[in-house]
Amino acid sequence: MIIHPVLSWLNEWWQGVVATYGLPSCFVPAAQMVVHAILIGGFIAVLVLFLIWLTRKVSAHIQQRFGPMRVGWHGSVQTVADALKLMQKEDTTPRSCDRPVFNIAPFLAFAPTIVAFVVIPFGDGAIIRDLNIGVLFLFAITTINVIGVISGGWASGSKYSLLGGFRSAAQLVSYEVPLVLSALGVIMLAGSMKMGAIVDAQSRIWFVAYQPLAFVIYIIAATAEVNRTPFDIPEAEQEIVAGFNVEYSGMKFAMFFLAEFANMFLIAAIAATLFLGGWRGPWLPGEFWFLAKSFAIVLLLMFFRWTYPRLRVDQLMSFAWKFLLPLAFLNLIITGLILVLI
Amino acid sequence: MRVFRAIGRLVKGTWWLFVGMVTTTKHFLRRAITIQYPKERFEQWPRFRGRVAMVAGDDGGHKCTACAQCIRVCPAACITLERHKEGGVKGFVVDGYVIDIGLCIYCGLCVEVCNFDALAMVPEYEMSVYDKAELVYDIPKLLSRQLEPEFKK
Ligand code: SF4
Ligand code: SF4
Repeated sequence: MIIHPVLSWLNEWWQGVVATYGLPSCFVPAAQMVVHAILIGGFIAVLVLFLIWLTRKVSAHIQQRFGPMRVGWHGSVQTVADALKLMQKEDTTPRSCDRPVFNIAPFLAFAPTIVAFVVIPFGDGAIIRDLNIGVLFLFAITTINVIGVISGGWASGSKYSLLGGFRSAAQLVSYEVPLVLSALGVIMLAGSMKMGAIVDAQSRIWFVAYQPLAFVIYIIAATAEVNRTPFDIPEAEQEIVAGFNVEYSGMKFAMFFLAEFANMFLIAAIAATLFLGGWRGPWLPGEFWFLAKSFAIVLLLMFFRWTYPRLRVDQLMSFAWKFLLPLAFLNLIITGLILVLI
Repeated sequence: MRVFRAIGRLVKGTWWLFVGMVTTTKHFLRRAITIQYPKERFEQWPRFRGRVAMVAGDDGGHKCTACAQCIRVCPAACITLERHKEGGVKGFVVDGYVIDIGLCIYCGLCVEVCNFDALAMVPEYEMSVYDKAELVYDIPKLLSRQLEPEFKK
């Protein structure tokens, strides 16, 4: 309701420019893509700065501290200062690393996150490409960042990062299965993989009411998917220092960090879209409702982090395969039966 | 039977997950207890043992008799005393008495050992200065801050 008119105005203005100056017509979609890319990039940058501040504030208040207080109002510009500091840092490369892989891994981890934002409906009409395989595209794309993580861990040439990369790969691959299966219930109800259609199907009742079990499975698997505690064994500080990103510094470390926080928001945004009615809500514009729902899930993930202790590797694996997966199948079977019988 | 036990454990475990979240939320809603140090300072106890000071006698001067007990006991060896004998006066005459606060470990042994109540610890703890020389406290500086009378040793 806010973004859509602005975008279409921009588009019309640019079409006018192209027509007036007689530029080739392929300039219209090209300019549109550039605008979208800039929008997503800017949104992610601002979002991550805000999310880091929020994480620090929330975790501080859970421990009855204040967190950052000095830079700006209640430390609100602290993350900007930190980001500037990170940019100035020396970009160290360990001698034993596999240089090309080491250099490309942070981008491999970060790029899928940007791409995934393409199919997220931020509001009424505020979706960049409403693909008809939206959900499938989302899960397929977000899985790619495992490659970034594991190649980063491998290329660092350090036992800690290698262990972190392995753990991360094992965890992401196993939790991907219940994650997708839980989303499948929603897809069956909506009868479409299109994000817009899924949101439209929830215009009366949110899918969380029909699929409570799937929602719980999704939240658990999503927490594991973005490496948040209690499933943060890939970066378990006490065991393997920081996992796959031990050897990274400067902007490359910032890339991993950016990917982690953007992923956290992404997974929350998917939950809001699939289960909580997306941008639909009374009175206020859709963008507001979308952000409010997503941030509610993000807050939930942050509270998890300060409440639950980390799982062991074997517990993590058996939980995924012996508990979550059967539960996800059960949910799928029940949904299917009900759909057939009614 | 094993199935029921497993379900029981599942329910119990889920309940404890919930309890954990409630506890976290409670702490989240409580007031932060941090003191924003340079902006606000904690309330000092009246007998807070900060830096060493000299206690003023009735005439406003120090009460030291140059017995050197404090020098003997000081583990950091940060007290220097200059004294001399004078005919007709009992004991010593104090020429100078200096404590290097930069070396002092705030142990309070000198206060403990002084038989003439010449030393005391005052509630002062922000001792940072830009020049090391300012940390050397001579008699006027040591006398500059006094305790409230009822807390004299
Ligand atoms: S013990 Fe007391 S009286 Fe003796 S030298 Fe030290 S301060 Fe002076
Ligand atoms: S407090 Fe301890 S270290 Fe400091 S001057 Fe007295 S005896 Fe020496």
